[in-house]
Amino acid sequence: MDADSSYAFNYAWSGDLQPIENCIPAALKSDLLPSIVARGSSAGHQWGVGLVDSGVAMYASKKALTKAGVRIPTGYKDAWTAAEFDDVLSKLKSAGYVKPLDVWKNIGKGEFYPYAYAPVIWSAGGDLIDRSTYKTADGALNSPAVVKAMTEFQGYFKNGYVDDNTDSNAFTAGRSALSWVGFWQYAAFKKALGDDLLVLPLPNYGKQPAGAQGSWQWTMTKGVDPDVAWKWIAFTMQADNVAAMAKANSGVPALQSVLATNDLYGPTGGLALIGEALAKGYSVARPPHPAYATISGAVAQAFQDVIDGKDPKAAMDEAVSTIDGDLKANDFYPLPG
Amino acid sequence: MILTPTTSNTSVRTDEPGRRRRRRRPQLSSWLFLAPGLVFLAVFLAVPFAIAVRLSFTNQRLSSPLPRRSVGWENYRALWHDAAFRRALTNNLIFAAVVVPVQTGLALVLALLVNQKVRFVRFFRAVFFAPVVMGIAVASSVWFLLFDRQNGLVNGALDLVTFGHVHPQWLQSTHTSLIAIMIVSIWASVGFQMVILLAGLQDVAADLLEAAEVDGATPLQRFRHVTVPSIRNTLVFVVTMTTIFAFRLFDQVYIMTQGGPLGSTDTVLLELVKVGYERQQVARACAISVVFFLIVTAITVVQRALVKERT
Repeated sequence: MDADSSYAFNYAWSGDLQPIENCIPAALKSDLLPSIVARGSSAGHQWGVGLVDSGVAMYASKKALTKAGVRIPTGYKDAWTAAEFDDVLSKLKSAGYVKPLDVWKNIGKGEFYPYAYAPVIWSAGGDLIDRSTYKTADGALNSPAVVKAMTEFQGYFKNGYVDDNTDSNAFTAGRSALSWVGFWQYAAFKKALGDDLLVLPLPNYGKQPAGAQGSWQWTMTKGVDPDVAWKWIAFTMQADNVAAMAKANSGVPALQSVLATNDLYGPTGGLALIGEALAKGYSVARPPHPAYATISGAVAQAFQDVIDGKDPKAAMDEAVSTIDGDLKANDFYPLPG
Repeated sequence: MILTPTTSNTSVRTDEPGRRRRRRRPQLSSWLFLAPGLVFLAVFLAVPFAIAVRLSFTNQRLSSPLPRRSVGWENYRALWHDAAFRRALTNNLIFAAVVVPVQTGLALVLALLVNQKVRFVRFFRAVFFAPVVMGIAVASSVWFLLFDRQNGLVNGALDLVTFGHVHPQWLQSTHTSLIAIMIVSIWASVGFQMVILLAGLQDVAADLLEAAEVDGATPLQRFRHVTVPSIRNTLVFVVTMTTIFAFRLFDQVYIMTQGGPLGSTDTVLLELVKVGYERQQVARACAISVVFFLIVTAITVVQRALVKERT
């Protein structure tokens, strides 16, 4: 079964999955990116393995930034600060971009919000749940620093900087100069903008700039013959198939041997920035925890409400109460057995 | 949950005691004819609802290795304090309070219009009925684009007519989102009510109308004192149906707003799906469905007590 992000851990905890670590041959295991192994593991077992890893970025038009006269970051080290980013948006607006920023709001409240916008929280030093105990989100998701970052984020909408992007063309049609979205849009953007396309880090909301990671992964449901199921997974994990998948959706190939031959994520590649985020630890994985199903919904709702103008502190507190309520209702998800 | 309006008047036969032997067979056959319907109602409505009532007193999850245990009235108590649920219920009530009279009234006007003996009347009937054929999911997806505040056709037209002075935010604003949903809902289903009322109108006795005309009644008087009383039962049926549909509001908001912005279009059924599937709290969702069932039943019963059908 193909499962998105951390949902696998909810299925695993419910007893619907069987671990796959015994199926993976040593040669393949040593070739997998560490982030892919980490992504599939929880409670001492590996439950899933994906073909690609992922990342989120701020795509930009070089011409627009030059025209507005703003500094262009070279990588994660000198990412725009939140205050600087406000200035960038205001200057772009003055330069003629009525709606300078596109955040793919049209994808809507679903896994996209916690995937693409959670870096705001991580960058401010917060998290979706307190990972030291996994018993509360209080203090992690609603800390003053997170609320401050969410207030920044809300400002983009309040100030009218954000394009609704109902047609998915805000960036490619040139209405917006910046587009905040995942790796999968790279090919389409490159085709539309050519050499004008820049791939930049998301703004730094205080602690350090952050990115996202993790993608869909194969899991095995309980009751299937692991050898048979593994045959299919092994087939898709062959180097040429992983390479084909990575080529098709611009994802980060899950095998080190394929990544080495992949130009996109190399030092001079178009998505070098996402490669850097994964290699240097700027990107953060969504919590590998069975409560993720609820966390995702609560965080998505919080972002939606903040976008719609709700007081950021109240929105984050509500998400915390939803998550904590779920943790409590499940006796804090004790390990099965 | 599917709610079936209780509109059919099952006429109970009161046979004389002397005809006992003859009564048996028709009763058996009537039960046989009823059987498929009853079996389906039992399997897909009564039994699931009984299970829902039972689960609403437990902590049942969508999928969990933890054992299920009884929690008494906890789910109902939590619901009582749940601001989101109250908001959703309020939205349902506002929606019903506006949509039921407006939609019934509009359906009646349309039915009267297409009941005239003029040319192309069949064409107009088809046009007014077309949105019903389209399906609410498709209609919602199309209206979602029409209501786009930047590039939508609705605001484009408003700009043109008002020279850019009226530019509502529609689905993006808490003030207009529910109005937009109402517009879509009425547009998409008024044709259905129109057809039912049209059938009622065509049953109005022509001689009664003629007699009234001969007696010197104005068209308005004829409508008020002959037509409306004649279609009374149909009107009651339409109002009941529309009320139940208004409470069932889900498809439009699920597709167009997901209950937003800030809960302004949240509905009870949307809340139920969110709680039951997103948060996996099946027991709590069952409690919502039980409360919801009781509220809708109460409203329908009160409504029918106020305006009784006449035979």
